[in-house]
Amino acid sequence: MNDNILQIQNPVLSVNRLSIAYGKDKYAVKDVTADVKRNTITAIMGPSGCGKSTLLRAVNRMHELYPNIKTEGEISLNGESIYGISTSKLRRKIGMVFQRPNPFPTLSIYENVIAGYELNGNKLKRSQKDEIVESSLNDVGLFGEVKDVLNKKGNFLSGGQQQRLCIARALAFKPEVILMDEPTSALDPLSTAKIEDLLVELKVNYSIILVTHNMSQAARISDYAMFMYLGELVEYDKTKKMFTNPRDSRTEGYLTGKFG
Amino acid sequence: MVEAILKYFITDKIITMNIKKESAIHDVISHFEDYANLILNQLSILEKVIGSGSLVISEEIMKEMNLNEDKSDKFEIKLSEKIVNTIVLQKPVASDLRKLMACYQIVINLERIGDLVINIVRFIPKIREAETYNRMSEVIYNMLLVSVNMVQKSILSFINGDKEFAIWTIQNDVVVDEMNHKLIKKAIAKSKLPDETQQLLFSFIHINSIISNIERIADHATNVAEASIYAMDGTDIRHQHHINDENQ
Amino acid sequence: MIDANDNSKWREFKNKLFFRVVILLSGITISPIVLIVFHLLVKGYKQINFDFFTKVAPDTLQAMTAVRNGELIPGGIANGISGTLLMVLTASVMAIPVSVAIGIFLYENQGKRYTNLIRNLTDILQGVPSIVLGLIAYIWIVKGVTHGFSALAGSIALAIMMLPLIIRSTEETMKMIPVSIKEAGAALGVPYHKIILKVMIPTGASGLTTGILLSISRVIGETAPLMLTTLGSTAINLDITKPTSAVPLQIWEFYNNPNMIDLVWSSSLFLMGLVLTLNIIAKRISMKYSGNS
Repeated sequence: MNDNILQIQNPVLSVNRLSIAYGKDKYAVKDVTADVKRNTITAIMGPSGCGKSTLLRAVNRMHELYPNIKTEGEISLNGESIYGISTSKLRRKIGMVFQRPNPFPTLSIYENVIAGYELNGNKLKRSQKDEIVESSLNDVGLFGEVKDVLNKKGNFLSGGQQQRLCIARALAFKPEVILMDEPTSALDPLSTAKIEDLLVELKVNYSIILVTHNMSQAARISDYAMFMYLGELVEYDKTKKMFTNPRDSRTEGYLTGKFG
Repeated sequence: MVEAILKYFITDKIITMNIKKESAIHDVISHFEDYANLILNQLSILEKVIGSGSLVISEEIMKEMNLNEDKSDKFEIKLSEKIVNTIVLQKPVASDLRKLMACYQIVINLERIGDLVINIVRFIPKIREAETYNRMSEVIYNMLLVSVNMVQKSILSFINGDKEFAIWTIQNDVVVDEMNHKLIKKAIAKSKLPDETQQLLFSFIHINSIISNIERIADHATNVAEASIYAMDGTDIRHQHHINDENQ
Repeated sequence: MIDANDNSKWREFKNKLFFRVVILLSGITISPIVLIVFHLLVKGYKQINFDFFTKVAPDTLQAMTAVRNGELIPGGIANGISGTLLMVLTASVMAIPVSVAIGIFLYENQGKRYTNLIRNLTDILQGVPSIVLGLIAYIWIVKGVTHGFSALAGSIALAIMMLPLIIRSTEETMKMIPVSIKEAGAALGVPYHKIILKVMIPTGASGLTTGILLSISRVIGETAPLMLTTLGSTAINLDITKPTSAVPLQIWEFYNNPNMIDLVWSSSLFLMGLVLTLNIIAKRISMKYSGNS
């Protein structure tokens, strides 16, 4: 057991001895144990191929989309195992935002926000839908910009706006946890800054887990940070501690640019 | 030989990952080493002056020390600037950041050491009692030696990453503190002056300490003001009043 | 200095020469289409009138009388148009769901051995001569099901011809949709079959439509398989178990009758127009949506 791992009370997410392998013995994630604190931004950092994306996707079981995946260990959301409920239900409680903004191209902005319900065949009254759309777009600061063009398709929106639309789409379910896989790597600095500010606002109501290869971003906005290397969780601590005085020499090496 | 070559290649690989950052930090540290050597040099001149036991300091020596003090001021400003630039441009974290922050603090302290050296040599010619001074100069010299040794070891501990030296320095502070308390009192007690005079002397000494400390409060306030101007304007105006003093 | 000058003049000349050769060759390539359309227009426009689309083909006597009197041949190709429509529609209803499904199947199972096998079989199917497919439909349907020539048999033959085209274009269209769209659907908890139906297919709709339109335009003019399966009819027939006419079949019939020559041109013009229109629409759709997925 690793001493460099944080202990947290009443975590929103709990990972216990999680190992994930592709095919035979190709472990992407090795024996990871960690608890995520509620209403914080937790960053997962590490060099390419360290398993951070795989770990993130395991939380909402998206890693099962890959062939030949073998999973050992447990993950629980608020104490309840994520393998005990259907993936449909799970992914309502745990939303995900991807690196490239991916609004559905054939749906309008309105339809995109409500897509989670519509595509799953959930019938809602028009007034309920309107409320969800307005509140989600407001949460991401997009409502004012698009309220007159809700019925247009989203492809005229800028990259940053599209990404915020995707976040609104994830928020429509009012999930507990939002997973973000390098959400700003495809965006320009100004859009990145806007989304970072948004995340800091959102953490009041949601718990955010953010995979990023941008150390400065992790330093800027995360409260807690995990450092992964070659599939292992090397260190997990408060961000300001990890960035000023990391305990493991591998973390130190990564942060000071000795490898990456 | 093989090791050296291997080390070259390995270090080469590490440095190529962050050429600008590594060279910026390296630049700061090497300037720091030059500064440290300047101060140590200044201290060794002081050792000679006090070791001689004489109240007369040659013009040559005064000139050299004043020149060094000038350079010291310039070094402080230059190094502070380099450190700030490195932090803002290279965004160092973890041990890199700590090294630079420590360096910044150390530079401020080295500059004060330099100031104190100059203050000491300014006081020496003001003493009228040559004999008294001569008698005490040995003890003063010993105290200086210990202090200089502390400066050397503490600087080395930073440059070489040697914790032993740092610990030794911190532990020796007690020794010097005691010397500070005891030296004058012993000297006065040993002199064959009447008791009242001795008491008077003690009182003056204490009053002098009080006044000196008040003066240091004012000094520190000045430092705060200089820092405040740096925050607002980005210009480092430290030591300009020293220059004004010298012109007077 | 002198060398540089010489070289650039030579290069400019080469440029112009090449450009002109390319224009010439392009012209030669386009000219058959232009000549054909022009020829058809000139020869066929006379017979195109309202009757052309609404009346059935005349019999030999009527045609002979009209030609002798220098009049327009009465009647039209309504039976052919209705037959073509009936059979193409039936073929589409049979072929489209099957081939779209196979196309999606191939897309979902890339790299597996049976996927490559199926894809190869599809390519082979595309190369089978249309008359052979007609023979197969004859044996299966004419002999086996409807015990006689029928539109159904024709539709089956046409459907088999449509399969490879639609399968391939579906697979290619699906491949062009970014994976992130699928992931977005999955992350919202949408089950896989719904992602395909509600997200992937709508997103790839333009590509799929283009493939379908192109395959329709391919089979609409097929003659040989129809000759062995639907035989033809003088009346408008909407019963798929009975023999039916079709525009290409009628062109063949008119060709064989010296009195109906004029109708040959007009029907060919019609058919050509139909095919060209379908192709242009397909092209327009694919260009309009090429930015989207």
